[in-house]
Amino acid sequence: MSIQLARRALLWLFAALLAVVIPHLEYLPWWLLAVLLVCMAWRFRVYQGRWSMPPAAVRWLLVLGSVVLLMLDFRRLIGLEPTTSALALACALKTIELKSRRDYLVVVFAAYFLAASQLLFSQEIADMVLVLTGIIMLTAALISQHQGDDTRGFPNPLALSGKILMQSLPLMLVLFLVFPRLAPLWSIPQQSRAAKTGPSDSMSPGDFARLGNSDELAFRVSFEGDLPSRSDWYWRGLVFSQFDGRTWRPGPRSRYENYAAAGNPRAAQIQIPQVVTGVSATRYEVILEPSQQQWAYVLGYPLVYDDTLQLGSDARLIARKPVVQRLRYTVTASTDYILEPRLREMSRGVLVQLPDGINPRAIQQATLWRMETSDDRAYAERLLDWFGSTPFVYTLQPGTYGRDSVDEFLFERRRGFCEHYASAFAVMMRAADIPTRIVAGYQGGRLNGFEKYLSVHQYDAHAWVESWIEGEGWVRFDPTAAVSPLRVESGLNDAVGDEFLADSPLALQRYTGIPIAAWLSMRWDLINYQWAKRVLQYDSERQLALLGRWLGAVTPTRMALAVVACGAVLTAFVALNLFGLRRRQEVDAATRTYLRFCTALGRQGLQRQCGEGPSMFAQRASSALPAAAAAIQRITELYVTLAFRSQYPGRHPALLRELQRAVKQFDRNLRTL
Amino acid sequence: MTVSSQAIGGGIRSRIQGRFQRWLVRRVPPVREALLSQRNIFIFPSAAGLVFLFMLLTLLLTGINYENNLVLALTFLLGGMFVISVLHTFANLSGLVLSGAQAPSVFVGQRACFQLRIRDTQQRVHDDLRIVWDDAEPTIVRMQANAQLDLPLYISTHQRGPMRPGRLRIDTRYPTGLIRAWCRIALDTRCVVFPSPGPLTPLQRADGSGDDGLLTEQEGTDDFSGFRTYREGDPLRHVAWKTLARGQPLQLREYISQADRQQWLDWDHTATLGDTEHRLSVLCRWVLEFERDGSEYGLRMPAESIAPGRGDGHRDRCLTALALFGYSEPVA
Repeated sequence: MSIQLARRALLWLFAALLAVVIPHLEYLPWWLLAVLLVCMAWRFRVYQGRWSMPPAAVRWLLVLGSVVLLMLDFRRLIGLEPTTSALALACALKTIELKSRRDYLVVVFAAYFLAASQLLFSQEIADMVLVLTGIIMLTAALISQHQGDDTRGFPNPLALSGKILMQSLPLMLVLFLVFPRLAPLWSIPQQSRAAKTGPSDSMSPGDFARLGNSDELAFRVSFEGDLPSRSDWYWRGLVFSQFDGRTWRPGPRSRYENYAAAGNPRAAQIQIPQVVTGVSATRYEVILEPSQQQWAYVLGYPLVYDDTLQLGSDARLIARKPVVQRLRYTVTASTDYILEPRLREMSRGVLVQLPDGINPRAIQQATLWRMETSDDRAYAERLLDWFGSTPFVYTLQPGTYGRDSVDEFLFERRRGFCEHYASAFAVMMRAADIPTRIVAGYQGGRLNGFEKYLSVHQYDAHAWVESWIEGEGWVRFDPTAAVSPLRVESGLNDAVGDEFLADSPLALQRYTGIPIAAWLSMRWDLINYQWAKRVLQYDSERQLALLGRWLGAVTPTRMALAVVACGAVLTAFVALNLFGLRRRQEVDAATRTYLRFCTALGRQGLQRQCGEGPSMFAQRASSALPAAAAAIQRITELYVTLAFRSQYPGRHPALLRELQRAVKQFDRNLRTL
Repeated sequence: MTVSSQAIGGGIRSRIQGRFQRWLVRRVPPVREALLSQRNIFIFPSAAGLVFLFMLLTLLLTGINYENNLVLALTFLLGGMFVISVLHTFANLSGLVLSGAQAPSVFVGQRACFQLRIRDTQQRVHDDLRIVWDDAEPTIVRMQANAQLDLPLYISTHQRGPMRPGRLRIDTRYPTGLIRAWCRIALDTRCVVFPSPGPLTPLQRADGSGDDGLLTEQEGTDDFSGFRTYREGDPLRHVAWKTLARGQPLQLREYISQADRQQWLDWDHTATLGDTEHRLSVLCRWVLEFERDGSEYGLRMPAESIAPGRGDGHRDRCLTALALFGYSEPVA
């Protein structure tokens, strides 16, 4: 079926393709847009009759060139980004040789898929809005192609498309709620270029200061029962035990455990740390944003946790695969525990190791102070006091440090962010031969006033220290808290003042001092939280709970019946709306009004006989009530016109109104008579 | 083996087709006027719709595999759109009233022109309607709300006799193109197709006597016989222009000629001309010839006899008698 595609249809397709491709540029190479624009421009020149369709050689050249660009850009063709790029490219290249209705449909359908694929990269509300815009425009393109060039305005297809999609929303909702959430049928390539976010698997000076400038969300937590006190909001993520004088890294055991958690067959089971727990525990649900990393964040010692997670020997939770999509997990954690009452001797060596000849002043000072104090605990307290009383500056712009970074920091510049304090404190502890490690994660969070949950952002990223003290196990020390108590008590915002999110002046979190901004920021965060929790994380567990509440028991029969019933009702509703019995209703309204008129006459003893037509009745009534004859004739005339001579539908409403007015007047007059 | 299986296949196919036609006749019988409604509208996904469903399936699998609720939601939205399209496409066709008028008669080989009248009764716009009658080119129309449209549809003719157009197919994919709704209406209209005029062959009495085989009431020559007053319908070439110029009333010069005789065209006199169709063609030609000459002529067919006369009405009666020869239908 080769037809000349109408101009409207072409323009609608181009608009829709742009609406679909442009949002993709956040994840896909920019040159896709260039290719698309070139193809569209060429096709439009062809429509205008200025250029001809490109010859086969040119088309092949375009295809080859694009594939080469793809290969150069990705160096592989398997994976989410290359596949999506290839699809976008195919759409673009196909536009140049749009000849028939079939070509047109191929492009539109591929573009539907392309639009949906954007949701594989990101699932924010804004993404959904963009994708829906694309879908509406694509549907408009589909419709415009059936309307051809005619008198209707250019936006007409959009209105119809919006209408059809609005009408399908209820069906979507029903299906969304009841469609069984199946496990993935086969493994799939994941997004590979996405930036890793959150603390990385090493810590050098300056790393956390960088995170402190980001207002991206890390995760949200809602607690069952009471919230722990704010000073305990330490979310453990990674543990570093190797230090080279500048950078902290996870120990070999840690790396090994990451493999083991991921189910690597060559890794043996992970040894669970010894722990003595008290009675107090808390249960919470975390929705972790995609970080592309393997660590999950946990408060306290996890007693019960989801199957997607694995406990490490240092009491952290490891995700079994990198978190490329939002991960929801529930943890029951003890908040009152002794971790490793007895330290494993074999790991002690790593935990007190310091590189030779680096930071000599700090080591010397530590040895001195340790000798002045009675035990490890007292030494640590002494150290914290010193941190608190020395004029340290807690800042997001600590500057760069040289080779003996700890010495320089402790005794000269004294400007630092949490990683400087943690690193310096750990070096001093190790210098005193106390097993010490650095814990990286988040501290704090913003409590949403509307619903009891915490939002933890990248700027809440934090590093602190854990030391092993005889009889107490691993004990948390936070030198940052000693220097800047505000950081722990109320968050980074108050601790660093104007430095907070200095690079993003539009971030609402910056302006929490202004009530309306605080309210907006919390509202928006709540909406996003609900979105993540109720829409994105709607899984089989929630589905069962919800359907169980509605259907009693969730059996396949009941589900099927529910779907069919809902579908039928919704479709019938749309059908009724579509086939609107407008004229019948008008006649009905006319008949109702006329019957009211008959009732009024009935009260005067004039009953309409069976089989007596309106005009006959009017004659009889007129002769019985000569005073009202004119009104009776007029009403009867109006009614007869409305009911039986309805070839002028445009005039119906006016006639009907006139009839209603006349009957009302007539009724009133009869009553006063 | 292949041959026989083909034959069997063909047999089955034709049997199924025959069955379908009979079912169609029962389901949607021929009518003067048809209101398109759920009684006669068929609806099914178009080829594009099936491709769309395949795309949805892929999208569904993507949603499941990536455990992506938003992709699933989008799949359901588009699925919902597909379902809603059914209603819209149906609405685009339903509520139309089709009626057909008799087509003016034509000769074999000419195209018959049927007037199709389409009327909207639902106060709805009807867009992108494709109307096809038999193998004719589709006509694409768009109707405003409450509009009435007269559409000439041309069908070529191949055979004399009463012609009923095949079923009219009216289909639409509006608005999304995913669904196709169609309707096959047999409108109770027909067109009489006259035989094509054959060669001007002399007619012969069945017994071989007579010179030209035309049965004449009057013998005579081309001689001038006098004047008479003009009557409406008289051939202008016999008008006595000279007397008119002298101021006398319009008069006709009367001749006694072959053309003025009352003549009979007799079916039996064509017996030597071969097959029925050829005989009818020749008779048809004679009817046209006589009519052109302005003579009075009658037609004797085995079943009926038309008294001599002239004029368009008379000619059409004769041609219709020829066209319907052998058909049991009464003259319309």
